[in-house]
Amino acid sequence: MIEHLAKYQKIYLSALLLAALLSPAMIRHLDGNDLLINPSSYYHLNAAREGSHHAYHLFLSLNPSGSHLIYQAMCLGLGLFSMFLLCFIAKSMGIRPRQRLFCLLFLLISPAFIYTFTTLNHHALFIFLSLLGFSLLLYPNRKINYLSFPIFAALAFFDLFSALFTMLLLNTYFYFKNRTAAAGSFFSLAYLKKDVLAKILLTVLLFFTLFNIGEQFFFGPFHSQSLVADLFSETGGSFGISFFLLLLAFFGISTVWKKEKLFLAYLSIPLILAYFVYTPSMIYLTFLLAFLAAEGFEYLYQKEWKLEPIKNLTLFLLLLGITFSALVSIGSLAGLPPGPAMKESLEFLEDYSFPEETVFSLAEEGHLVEYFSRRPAFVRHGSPDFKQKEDISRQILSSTYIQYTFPLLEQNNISFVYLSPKARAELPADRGLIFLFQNERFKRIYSQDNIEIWEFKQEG
Amino acid sequence: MKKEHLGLAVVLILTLALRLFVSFTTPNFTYDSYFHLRQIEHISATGLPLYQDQLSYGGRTLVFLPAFHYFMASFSLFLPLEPAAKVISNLLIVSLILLVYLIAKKITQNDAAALISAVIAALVPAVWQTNSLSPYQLFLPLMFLTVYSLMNIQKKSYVYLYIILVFLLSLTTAATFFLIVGILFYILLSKIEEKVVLRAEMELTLFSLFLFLWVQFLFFKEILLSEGFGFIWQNIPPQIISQYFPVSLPQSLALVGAIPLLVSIYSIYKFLFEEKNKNIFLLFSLAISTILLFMLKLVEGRITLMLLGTIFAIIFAQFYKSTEQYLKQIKLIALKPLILSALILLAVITSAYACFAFASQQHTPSPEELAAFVWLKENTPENAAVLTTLKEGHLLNYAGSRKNMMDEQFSLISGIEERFNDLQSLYTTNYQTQAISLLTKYNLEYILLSEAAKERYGIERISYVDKNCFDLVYDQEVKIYLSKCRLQPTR
Repeated sequence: MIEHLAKYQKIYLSALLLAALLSPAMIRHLDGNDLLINPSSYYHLNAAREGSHHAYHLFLSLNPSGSHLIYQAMCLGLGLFSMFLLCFIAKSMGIRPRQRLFCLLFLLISPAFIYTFTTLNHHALFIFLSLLGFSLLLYPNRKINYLSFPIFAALAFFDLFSALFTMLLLNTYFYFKNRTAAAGSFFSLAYLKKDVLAKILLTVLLFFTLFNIGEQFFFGPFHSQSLVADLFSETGGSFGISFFLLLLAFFGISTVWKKEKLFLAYLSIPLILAYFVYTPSMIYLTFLLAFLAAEGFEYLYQKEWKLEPIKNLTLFLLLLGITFSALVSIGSLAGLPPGPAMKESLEFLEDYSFPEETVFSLAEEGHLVEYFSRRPAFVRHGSPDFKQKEDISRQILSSTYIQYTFPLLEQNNISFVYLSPKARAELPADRGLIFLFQNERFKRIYSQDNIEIWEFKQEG
Repeated sequence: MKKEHLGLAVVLILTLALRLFVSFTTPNFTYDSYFHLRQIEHISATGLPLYQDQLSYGGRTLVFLPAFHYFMASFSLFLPLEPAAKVISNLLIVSLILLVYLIAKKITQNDAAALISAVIAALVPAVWQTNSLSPYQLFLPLMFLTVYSLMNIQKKSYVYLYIILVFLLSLTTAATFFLIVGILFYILLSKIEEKVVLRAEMELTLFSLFLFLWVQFLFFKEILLSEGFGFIWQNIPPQIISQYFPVSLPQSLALVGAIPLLVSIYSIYKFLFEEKNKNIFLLFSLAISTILLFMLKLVEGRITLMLLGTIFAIIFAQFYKSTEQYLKQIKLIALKPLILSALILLAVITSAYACFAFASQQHTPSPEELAAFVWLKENTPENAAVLTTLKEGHLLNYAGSRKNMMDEQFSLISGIEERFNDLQSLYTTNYQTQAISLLTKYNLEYILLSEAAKERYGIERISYVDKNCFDLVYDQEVKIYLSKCRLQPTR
């Protein structure tokens, strides 16, 4: 059975990936919601609409019609191509078919992979381009190897972290490629002397990276980060790791201990460090964990057990656990905002308001407000003044005194307050901003499907 | 019949008789038991647990592991629910004594030591809540049977027994975590100490870990997603979390039994790295991991003390055996009966005293209080919501069949801290406007003032109650008021 799956893995994995990536959208479609998943997707749509020059936004502008279906197809395409490239890379690296199968299986149904290729985010394009670059580099033809140069150069334009991480990956690759020809440690870079391709490529990448110095180190985040909640998919992290995958990865580490493959585990160190300031780095860490988990699973599968039935039960439980995480992730993604009611309410706001009027909403809904109502949101993730605006936002939400709240609203030109079902659930009704809605300067202009929009009359 | 077996039978019968005597002479059940009684009743009637509860918190989703409730419901099919619950729950705890005897016998190969362990296990104060009904009563015997199976894993039948038990445990309570962590700790310590760990043990541990995790994720998916790692603390309001995760050393000492505790600490210290017997090593590991989890406040105090008390009772057997050998070694064998009898007597007396003190302090509703809840069921509209104290919440749902404002199942309830404060305010505020505003907010129509509420909030009467807005509709030891006033929204 496993051998059959390993032999025809491309077919089975493609089918599995299609099912995993299409499921959230299908569930939403059945629920009458064809909008793109996740508020942060709308940051990228807004940026693409405003003509941002970020590589990902240029990629999104390839869909001038703005059709959400085409965006979803673009996500799916990136996911599918990434899978084929991964298959090619794994094969080129001499990874055995069965291990390749396990590794890709764990990766493709990991919450991080599903999240990356079902919502709009720059990580999807970064992963695709990195894989494309490495595929070209691994191709047994020197001329084709050179084609990877512009691709790796493009990666430097995502953000500084991406550029540095790409350099680290390339260094690792060239180190392993030349380790027999040149002595010296990884950090001595002695192996570069023998490899012209490596020298040119890394110099080009370094040049573009230096060119980008001064730009932001991390692009994003576009959601409220939480080190604890974002860590595991089972505890609500959209791109968190599966607990079962992590356990298997620990097994994997113990099996590759003292082997050359352990070196790959060291790549996780910068990613783990990055996690403390930028939780989406977990997406890249998942690739390494999937590899280590495959090692662990292979070990458990190959090892002779004293209690053979227990072996089958344990492996079955592991697969069930990993599948469970994928299903939870699909369900959570399908339930993410926005929905048609939100769209309708914000389109109402567009008709009702003037373009310069600012809308106050939860920070994570700022991008949605801007996309659908085409009005500036007071606070939104990813904006340069986010911290400052978040502080003011907190003051506005918590104060129950008009002497304190009204000047804040006036100074920041806030004319509307947008209350989504989430905001209504989170904010207390008997104090703070919602309590102040009893004041005559607030007027409810929209109330439907548990969504309310309140107009704040500016004085004078 | 061997003398020790006869002794064991006497201990079992005496303990059961004593427990049942205390249980049936104390009226009703402890307050938290009514949640389980209601679930058992629902399973008996419909075959399914009540996961969508219309009465708790005025209507909410409940998530819990149902094995214990199904187990009890199977008895309530042919016995009246409440007497059956009292008998079976006490029988389960008494079965623990038998398991302690078997494990102690397995470890020491000494009948007298095993019997003494059984006596000490019968007198673990923490398990002397004779009128309580909780999944822990099934968990404890199942857990020690699992430990016993693991000790006999060379026999194939025990492998199957182990698998079945781990599956049942995973469906009984999340406290199975103790067992999993304990066994993992045992393997870790064994590796460090270069002791032999059987391959079957490793394989079964791995299996148990994944099975347990999978079942927990399956059941508690929603809680995990909404509360994250906070699910460990069950969304308990911060104001009362110390009641669930206590660290009071004197209380802990009393509840596990002072002498077994001291003996166990000494034994673990003395024998942990010298002991050749891997079974006692497993028990040491279970004890140490339980203490660590407790100290890290990752597990509830009540179950920790029950578990530790039982483990310490088993370890006492090992102590008895080694003391016996030591006395032989130093040629003081003549003093053996005197020294050992004195030790056992001390252990029994201190534990017995704590047991009866603990049993007599069980918080159960009085018959008058229960009558008030039954009155509510018979004399109020079916969808009425009633203000009760936190611990009376389940009792209201079970005996009164009316909606409560709050009970001790906190998971998945948003704004729990605010609700808890509001509940407190409703009993203690002097301002009628505030009270009516809160009664309107939670849609509460009746207020129940029991002796328990008076004691809890240090009040004699509810100060804002007057004839304009409240009718006294039940005037016994317990008072029930009907709230007539409501605050209307301005818009």
